[in-house]
Amino acid sequence: MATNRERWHQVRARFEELLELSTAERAAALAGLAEEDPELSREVKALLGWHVEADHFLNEPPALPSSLSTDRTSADAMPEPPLPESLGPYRILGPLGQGGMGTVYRAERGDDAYRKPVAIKVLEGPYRRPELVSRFRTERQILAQLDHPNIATLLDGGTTPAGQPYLVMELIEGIPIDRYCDDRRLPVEARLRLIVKVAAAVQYAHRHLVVHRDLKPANILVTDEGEPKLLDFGIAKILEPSALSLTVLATELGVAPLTPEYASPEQITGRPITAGSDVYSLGVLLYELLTGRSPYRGTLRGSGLERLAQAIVREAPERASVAVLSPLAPEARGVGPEEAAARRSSEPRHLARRLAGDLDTVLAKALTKEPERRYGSADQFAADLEAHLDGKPVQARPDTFFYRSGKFLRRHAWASSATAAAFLILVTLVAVLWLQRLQLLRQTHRAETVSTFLTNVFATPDPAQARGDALSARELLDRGANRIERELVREPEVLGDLLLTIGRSYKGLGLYAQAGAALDRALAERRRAEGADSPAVAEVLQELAEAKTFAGDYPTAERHLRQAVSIRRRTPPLGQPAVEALMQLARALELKGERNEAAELFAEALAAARRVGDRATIAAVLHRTAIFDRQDHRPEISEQRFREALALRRETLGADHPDVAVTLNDLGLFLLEQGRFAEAEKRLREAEAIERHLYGASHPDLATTLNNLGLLRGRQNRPKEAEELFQNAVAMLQATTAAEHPLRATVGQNLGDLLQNQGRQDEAEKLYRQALDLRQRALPPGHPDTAATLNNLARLVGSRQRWAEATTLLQEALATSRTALGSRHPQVATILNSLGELEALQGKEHLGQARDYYREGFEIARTNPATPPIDLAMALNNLGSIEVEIGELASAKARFKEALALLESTFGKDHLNVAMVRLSLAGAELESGNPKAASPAAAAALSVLLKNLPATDPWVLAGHRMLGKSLLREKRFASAEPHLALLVRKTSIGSGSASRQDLALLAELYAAWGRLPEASRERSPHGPGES
Amino acid sequence: MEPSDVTALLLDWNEGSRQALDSLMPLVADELKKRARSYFQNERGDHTLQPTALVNELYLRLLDRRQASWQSRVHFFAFASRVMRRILVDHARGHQASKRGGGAVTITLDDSLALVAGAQVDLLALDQALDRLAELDSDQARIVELRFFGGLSIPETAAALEIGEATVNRRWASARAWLYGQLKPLEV
Repeated sequence: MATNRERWHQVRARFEELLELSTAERAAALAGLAEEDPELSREVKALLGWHVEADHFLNEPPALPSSLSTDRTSADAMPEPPLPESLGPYRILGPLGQGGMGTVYRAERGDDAYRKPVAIKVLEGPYRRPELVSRFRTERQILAQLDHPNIATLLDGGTTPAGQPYLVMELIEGIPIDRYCDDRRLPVEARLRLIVKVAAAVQYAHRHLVVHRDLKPANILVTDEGEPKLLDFGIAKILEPSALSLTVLATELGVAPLTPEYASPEQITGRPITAGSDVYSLGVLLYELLTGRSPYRGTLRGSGLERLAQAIVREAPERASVAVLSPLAPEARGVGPEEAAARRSSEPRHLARRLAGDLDTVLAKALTKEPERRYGSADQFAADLEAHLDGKPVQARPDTFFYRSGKFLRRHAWASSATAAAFLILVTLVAVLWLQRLQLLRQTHRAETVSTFLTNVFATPDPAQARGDALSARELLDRGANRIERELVREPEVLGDLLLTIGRSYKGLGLYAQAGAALDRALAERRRAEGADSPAVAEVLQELAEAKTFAGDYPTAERHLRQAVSIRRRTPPLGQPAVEALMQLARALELKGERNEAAELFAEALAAARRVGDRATIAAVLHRTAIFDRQDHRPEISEQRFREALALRRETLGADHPDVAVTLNDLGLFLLEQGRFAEAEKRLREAEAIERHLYGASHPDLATTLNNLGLLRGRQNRPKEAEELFQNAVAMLQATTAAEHPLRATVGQNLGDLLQNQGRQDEAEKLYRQALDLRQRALPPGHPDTAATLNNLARLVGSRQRWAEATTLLQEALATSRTALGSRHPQVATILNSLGELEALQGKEHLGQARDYYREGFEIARTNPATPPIDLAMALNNLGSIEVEIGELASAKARFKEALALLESTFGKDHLNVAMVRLSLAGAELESGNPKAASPAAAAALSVLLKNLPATDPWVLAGHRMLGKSLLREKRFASAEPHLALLVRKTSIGSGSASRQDLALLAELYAAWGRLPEASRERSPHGPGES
Repeated sequence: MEPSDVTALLLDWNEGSRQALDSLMPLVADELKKRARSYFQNERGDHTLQPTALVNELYLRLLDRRQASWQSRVHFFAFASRVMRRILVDHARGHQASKRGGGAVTITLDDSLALVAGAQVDLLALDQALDRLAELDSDQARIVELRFFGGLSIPETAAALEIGEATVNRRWASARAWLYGQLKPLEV
């Protein structure tokens, strides 16, 4: 191995490169390297091998040996506590180990024939309290009833002369189940059989109303004979509510025995714990035994407990069959694909196939976040595993909710009612963490205060201790928030942290006002404790801004973000939190329509992210920036960023990752907006394929992609397919999301648009109203998204000639948007245009009013650099058309020409919208008595229309009409005739009778041309059809 | 020892005073051991005490927080990691001498297993290997010291060394692999 710096840095650089690659790519790269530098290749290969083998190596900090205190180097060393000679009838043989609750001794009965060795656990520390002795006595009796070959029997118990309670248990000689399996390289089947036995033992205990509550490998030893033995029902809770249970003990002691890695979501929250909690832990255990890693990706050990808590509650475990193929995150506990497979006497692909299907499904059901959706009992869990082993169908259905729920919560936390629970869990786990930390500070007064406080506030929702039913998350938070300042006022740092936690939790519950209040207080405390310019203050500011944004209070959010950004800029290095702050502010400004500053911030965020170097962050910033750029007439930059984000995500996350699908989806949408339908479809289909693979048949992300495919089909004028896609998305969202989920409103609105275009007004109106109702329920009053939905509904109502109602809706939308977004926001312009259209529809005397609205809307659009050219051009077109109708012909013509220039420079001459504006221009020329200018414009328009649309399309007919009319006015009768005659023929075929207007035109032609017979015939009311 | 003394010494150390380190080391080491002892006696029945916890508490106890800045916190952790390494290695050395030949019972009934797994690392060998690693790349040795002996997370380590998290992640991976290779028993 490298022995000098230069060589080591060479080896290291190659190692780091190769680490990013898949196993196959790695082998290829090594082979390539071997050719240029065999020695280097060998060293890199060795290092990679060690990396794979290193497993837990150094990942856990060294435990401080208890004998440290008796270290001879220490001046006032204390002697080790003397070993008791005997306890009751038991003779102590020696120490076995130290555990969470006390010391464990090996012992045997000194008095009679029962010579089997036993383990005696003497409770120490906080468990030593005298009042617990009698409680243990009660517990002991119940636990001693557990008599099962796979449960370490509780034999006896008592009190030491010093008053410490002790428990006597069957001594088990064995090793933890995970190590047992790995040491013997047990294949999947053998592991399943072990878990089946464990589950049966757990079920047995459940039948005796004992829940283990702390199932983990260290508590499941396997003997040399291969029998698993469950240890330590020491914190088990007796289900029977009347019984005086150990729960009380556990909560009073501040949940010390909790082992987060295997805990169920409800366990950390303090929600009622049932047999289902053990089923969850069994699920975690099985997942680890099958995959060699934790179901929580990137889980940190030691530190990062808060992250673990988030994962337990919110993160959907990766499918086991997928996990065993993906590289292990650098900090994650566990082993990589090769090693994991080897320990199961398999190889990665084979192991993955083995786990796919039934086992994925069984794990999904056991690891569902909601207890009621899990297996009802350990028995049912075991039964499915046995069925699988026997080759019979399992009971669990591929319930994709499991996979989607975690992710759903992660992305849309605030919209989901299930989130309440999620955030509560964080609260209590944070409380647990605090307690753990604070136990270290026991001696100080502060610790006592805080720990008592937290215990009282957060540990009460246990039915055994509280009022018969669990407190709601809301109540818990309210209680904490009210007491916190009164009781902790002298500890600003602690107070700040707690208030921040409480604020975040309120935000999670969607209680933005309360969140704002708690966070405001957290801000004040942190400013006092850490100084106004500390990163800790910025952290609160960012949190607060998010709460304010959700609440629709954009100005305050912006103010906080500006402050946060300025703090972050002043406290280098600009790390990930700084990138986050910059992006938050950029988004706030984007929302507000201040695009120039937003653009600068996005650029700064991107530069900072690139400096930080974390590729996931870079990809996230690129993706978001691409979405922003696409509205800035810079499609090529936007596209380039999308593609870079996509490449980075594929590289770091693998091709089949949810975030890759999200980027593909957004890139597809971007291409769709650009009118590049074929490419858009390709990307959207790729996203769809990943989502179907990851989530199965149903998921909000999949619904989003289907929605976008629906939009695509709509744009391609394939309404039937579009409708089907939207309907699928709607059904999917109904099955997978909370009733208030914003996506439901979006898809409903899109479907409404489609149906409205097909003339299905009743259905469309119903959909719009549903969307509106949903927004009003989900969003705080005055939210601009609600205004957007109001706008669309109003347009429909207007088209049904319910003028007053439509006007009211639009005025409300206008007022809301102005207040929330400022009066120069594009959304304000859109609503003004809707108002203009509504007025125009109402007849001649409204045209002046219509023109004013259009003009106001257009002026906003013109000053906003983000207005897409096509929107600006169509606004010009609308405004011009009105001006034609009220006789302002010169102004109208100027507007049409400006629109044309805009469109042609963006889309070229052959674009449909170019043709539409040309027709408008031709009309204006005609009105001004200038048919010589009108004809060429109309002819150009018609040729484009004919190229793009079917011959019977109303737009094509309008083209014929305009051209025919212009030629007629030019007195070029022969040229005009085919257009006008065709018009009459086509329209009479389509609708049963030609329009009066067209008949009149044809008659006028023949009259002017001097071909009277035809003229009189065309004038007859029944038209040519009857002759 | 007054908190303000430690803070002042630490500031000196930051500014490069070798003497400050020499005065600081015994102070902190003593305090550490004293703290540790009080846990193992009766304050906590839980023996899964980890260095982070102890260092955290030390920090709270030893530093005058009115003077201590965010940087001094980071530096303190860096410093305490070094102290921790020295204490643990000295301790292991002492035990190696006293416990030779003693067959330790490894069967345990609960959490202490995790403890055993952590303690299985041969601290003396690790100490020596770390010195060799420092010759190859002193930053990487520091990363290991902070992560393993100080119990610092990746972001904390990144902050302490003023380098990016991604870099810490990569350097940690190669350092860990290399050390593993140095410590693993020779294959026959």
